[in-house]
Amino acid sequence: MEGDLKEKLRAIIAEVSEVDEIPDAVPFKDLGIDSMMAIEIVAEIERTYKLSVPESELKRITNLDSVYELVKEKLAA
Amino acid sequence: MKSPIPAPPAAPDRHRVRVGYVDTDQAGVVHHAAYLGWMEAARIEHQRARGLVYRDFELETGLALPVVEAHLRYRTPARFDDELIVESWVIEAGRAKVVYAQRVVRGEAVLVEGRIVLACVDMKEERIASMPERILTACAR
Repeated sequence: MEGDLKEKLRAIIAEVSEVDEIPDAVPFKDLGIDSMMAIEIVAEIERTYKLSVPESELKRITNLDSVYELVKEKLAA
Repeated sequence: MKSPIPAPPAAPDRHRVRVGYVDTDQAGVVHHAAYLGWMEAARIEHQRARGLVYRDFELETGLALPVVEAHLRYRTPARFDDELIVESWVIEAGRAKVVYAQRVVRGEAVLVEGRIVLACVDMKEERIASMPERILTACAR
């Protein structure tokens, strides 16, 4: 189940960013994913999972692992 | 070449400009950079018509909407003293960006078409921010 979530998030991030390979721990900035694209990714995740990520939590988004942790928390809340 | 923007709506916002001598180059036509200034002015008027005074927005929120992408296609030149209309409409508005489509026309002739992307930045913290609801509301009008 958790693996499914991470793979779905990986797919969303790859689709929005148009970056083919999204490793778990590599910083987005090293993949060419800038802060504006990160907001687009968050917006797509909000739509997909019907959750809300407040502005103050955007800075947590640095790589796939951090997105996964954030979404997992939101879905459990 | 394919247009960078979709067809305009039935009644896009229209902003009138008159080409000044200062806008032309040695070849006697409008310099390509001049269009960007007119398109910016047209977007500000587009927002004003929807209840958003951009200067007030910056002062009240500390946020700004910089252009982060501009794709212009120049089709036909304009010349000194021409009367031009800049048509503007929003084709996408979301948390990360607002995308404007704009055309500069002279009569029936389309001179320039452009796709302009605006992001939102927190000027004090110098970081990207989410597009505030008041912007999205204005864009939806």
